Amino acid sequence: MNLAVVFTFLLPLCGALINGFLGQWFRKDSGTVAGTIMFGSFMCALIAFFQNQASPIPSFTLWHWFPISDTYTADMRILVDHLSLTMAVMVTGVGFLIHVFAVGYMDHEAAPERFFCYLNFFVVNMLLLVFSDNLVMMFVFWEGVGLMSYLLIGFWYYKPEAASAGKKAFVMNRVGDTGFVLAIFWLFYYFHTFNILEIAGKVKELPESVVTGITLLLFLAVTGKSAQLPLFTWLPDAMEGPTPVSALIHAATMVTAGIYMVTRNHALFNLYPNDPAHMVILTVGALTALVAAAIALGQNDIKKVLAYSTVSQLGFMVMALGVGCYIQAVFHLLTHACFKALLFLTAGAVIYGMHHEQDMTKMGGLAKRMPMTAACFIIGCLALAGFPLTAGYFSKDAILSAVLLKDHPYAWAAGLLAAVFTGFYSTRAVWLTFFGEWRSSHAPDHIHETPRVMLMPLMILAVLALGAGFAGWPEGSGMLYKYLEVTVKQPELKGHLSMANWLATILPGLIGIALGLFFYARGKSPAPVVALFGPIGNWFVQKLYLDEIYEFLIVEPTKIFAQACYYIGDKAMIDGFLHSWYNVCAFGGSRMRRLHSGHLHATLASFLAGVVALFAYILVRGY
Amino acid sequence: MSSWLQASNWLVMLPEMIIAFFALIILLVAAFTKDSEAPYPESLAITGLALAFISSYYIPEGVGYYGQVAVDSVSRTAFSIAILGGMLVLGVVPSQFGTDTMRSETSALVLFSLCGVGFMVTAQHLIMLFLGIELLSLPLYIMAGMRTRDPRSREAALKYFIVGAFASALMLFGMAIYLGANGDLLMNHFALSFQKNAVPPTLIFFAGWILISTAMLFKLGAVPFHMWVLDVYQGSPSSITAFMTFAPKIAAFFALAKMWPLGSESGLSTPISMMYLLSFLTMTAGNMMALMQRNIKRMLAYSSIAHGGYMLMAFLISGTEGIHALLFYLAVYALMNIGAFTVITLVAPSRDPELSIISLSGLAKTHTYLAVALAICLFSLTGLPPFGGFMAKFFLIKAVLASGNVYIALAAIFNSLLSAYYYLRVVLVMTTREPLAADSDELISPSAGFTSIGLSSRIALAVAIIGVVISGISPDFFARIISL
Repeated sequence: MNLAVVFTFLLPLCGALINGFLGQWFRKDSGTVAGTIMFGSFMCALIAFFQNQASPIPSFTLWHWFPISDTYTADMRILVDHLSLTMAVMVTGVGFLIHVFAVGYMDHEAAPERFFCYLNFFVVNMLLLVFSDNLVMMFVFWEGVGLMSYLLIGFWYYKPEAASAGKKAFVMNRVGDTGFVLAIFWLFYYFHTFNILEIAGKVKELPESVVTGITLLLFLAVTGKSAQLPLFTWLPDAMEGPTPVSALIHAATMVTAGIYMVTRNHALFNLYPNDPAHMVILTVGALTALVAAAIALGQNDIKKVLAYSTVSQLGFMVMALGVGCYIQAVFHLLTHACFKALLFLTAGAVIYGMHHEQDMTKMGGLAKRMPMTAACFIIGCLALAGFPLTAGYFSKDAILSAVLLKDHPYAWAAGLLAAVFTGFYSTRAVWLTFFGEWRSSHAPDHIHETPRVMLMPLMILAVLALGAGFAGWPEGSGMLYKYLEVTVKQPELKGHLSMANWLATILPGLIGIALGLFFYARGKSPAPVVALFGPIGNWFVQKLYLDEIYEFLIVEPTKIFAQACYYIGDKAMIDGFLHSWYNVCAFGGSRMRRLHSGHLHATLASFLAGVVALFAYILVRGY
Repeated sequence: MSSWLQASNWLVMLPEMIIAFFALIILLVAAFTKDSEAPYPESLAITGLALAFISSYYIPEGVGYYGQVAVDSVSRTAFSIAILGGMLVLGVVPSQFGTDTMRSETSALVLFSLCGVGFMVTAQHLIMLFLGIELLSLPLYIMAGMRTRDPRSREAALKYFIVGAFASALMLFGMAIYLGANGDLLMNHFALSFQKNAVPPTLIFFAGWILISTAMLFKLGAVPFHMWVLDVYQGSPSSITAFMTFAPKIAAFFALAKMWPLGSESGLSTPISMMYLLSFLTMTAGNMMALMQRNIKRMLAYSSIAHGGYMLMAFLISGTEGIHALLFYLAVYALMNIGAFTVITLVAPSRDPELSIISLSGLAKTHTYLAVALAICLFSLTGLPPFGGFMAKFFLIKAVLASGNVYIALAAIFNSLLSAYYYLRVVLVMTTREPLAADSDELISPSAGFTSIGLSSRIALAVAIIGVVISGISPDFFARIISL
């Protein structure tokens, strides 16, 4: 047993239990307790990371869960390798910083212990998902993070929007999870094991059509959890949750579970790199990156912009998966976790400072009042836009050049366009929030710099957003590649990009930023998006009417189907059956009452009837 | 004298002796103290049970009392489950009876009843089995009527007694026939007759077999011998009902296991198809009727019938796997029911004494922890992971499938599906409905209600809930606890 690893997830579990059961006695300090525990967990993750450099690292069993067949037992088994350790460090590290931020952010909350209990418990689930050695365990904690996400989105359950956003996230994810379950069953049918490494070893026995089917089902789960087309609409709604939750779950950790799951099962995906499944994955990724970036252009709510940008960045990661470049995907996952957590937390700090105002058109000029916060936000946006030498630049560039080297020019072009959009909406967000004239209804004197407990995590994340990219530099042979290559076997990229192509991958971000500055930095009052783009702008503002399209194509037919089920299945069949059963019982009962005077007689009569029936059975049937 | 002691191997009955000894002590203490200064009789009883539990692992396995009783690992585990369950129930009894004088009597009666369980699971002779049944049942009749002022309680006691007497009479009749067929009352004739390639038993043997088995089926509430269950469960004090749901079931199941051919190990097809039918009828009828109930105790009564039906499936499996699945099921089942009935015991006084399901409205707001505990028990009864009820059903259904009985396994799965409807409805009522007017002044903090609850029932409830969770998360570990 690997003690450092065990404590990595045991500590947050203890924290969740302490806050959950005893938290009401020390409400004010529940955040401190949770944060301290997360710090311990982060330290353990670091120790585990540095202790286990050799390969292979033995995995170990926590306990046997239950035997599924004669040969296979579902165990709680921890898989320690370079991939899971990297993820664990990221989850606990970002998680710790977000906990610290949340201590400040939730200080006016009536019952913060509930919040911190969920938050800690979420980290436990995420860590165990990452450390899962078999698909059953992975699925359990996959659902676990889904549940915690539901609870945290709906944390302010008395707000109807929050409650329904939680439900939406939960239901959308169920659609994807169906795919996961089916894929797991399908794999078990062939291999009689759930162990990921054993499956990876035997996977060559599978025919191509089966692999395509299984990978597509797994990818369905990814579209749910990692918010890809067509299942991404839950993520923007999930912004109803408290902002630290948006940062932790809907940017840095949970939504990356899908990317991690594919990387974990890369042996399966590597098998037939040219099958239709990969085409689907690449196309969905590219489309999601483009569509979500376009929608982000038209949003005025600061958190909504960041939400759509998250969807778009996840689209980039999925593109990388589609061309079989898992390490590039994980690289972008890691850098994205840093700068997106930074952006969300800064947005949270702004919202906190502005007394829960989220509309960017009602902000402006905040840089003077909260300079540190503004600096952090700008750094985050530069990284997001892929400004050269920031973290986002390295990882996005790695993905785009990988896509081009694998000879998918259309996906590459879509990625470039999405990068232009990204630069544009990042600049727009920065300008609307921090520069230009003062548009808030609050007097400037009422707006103060963010408290220190919230500022500290921001600064650390800002440093990471600037520097984390060097872990993956130079491309293909950087530190991160060397480290992860031990675990993740991916086909090598052949050839090099020409200078023109290389320029083409770095320019779009700069073009986007330049365009954004051109449109927004000139005038004092910002032009609405519709004015800039004409009728297309209206499409962006209306989120490409996707919600409406879904409403028409999916929700309404489903409602009609549900109504049909209700009337035919529930009312007619189930109720009808039960009511007739009831009528039979009632009729029988009334007959009984007429024949006998009390229940006792009926009891004894039925008793005797039973005995007689058993005798008759033996006599008729023989033995 | 010493040679007699050795030959009788009296040590195999040590746990029963300890329990009976403590029961007598409790009665003696109660006789010589005033009501007001009576010490906690339950603590004495729990000590006795703990000693019996420990001692049961130091006594040797084997035959004792000239072949009248035999202790093996199965009977030992079954008895330990009953003892542990009894300890938990005794923790709840103080909350039920308050400062009532009935507490000493109740404690002693629970102990006597457990003694009966011990006799039944170890019996190798029908007279011994009969003594066990009576020793188990007579205290139950009395305890059912413990709330003397409540007409329902009196009715329950009387009904239970009359139907029980009827069953005992049938059993005695069956024993007489059995004696005629075999020449003595040793129970090994069952096993011998049902061996493969044995001479087929005579019809007269089967007559005795049916009558004796019927008495066991009556005790575990199989359809159509189930009708007493409702009124008795509803009328008895809730903590006693918790005891009734598992103690007689454990005894009856393992007595029945000694007289019924397991699976296809005998060449006979009739016992199998008979059990197939009984099991199907019991689970289906139990679930169907539970759907209709508006009273939570009646609902749980029908649900216990349905669970009895699932457990009867264990007799369709040859070998030890079915018996082991049954042991696990019974242990989890005892915990779930103790948990559920404890919550009902604690909630009842402040709410509707009739305990309609609606009276639990808003329990999640007024008594958060109790509501969570009840919800866990109900989820587990439904068979949802990660609670013990899922594992119990999983092991049992897996073994049934392995034995080739696909249809009854499917029936069990569909029945579980159906049962979700009435179990989860209670959770729905607890969480989504507003608290009743009388309770709204209790809305203080999540731990409200604990002030009025004794420490012992708090501990008992916590242990039951932890057991339900542990058995679902790590069944290996749980199995090791109950059989040490």
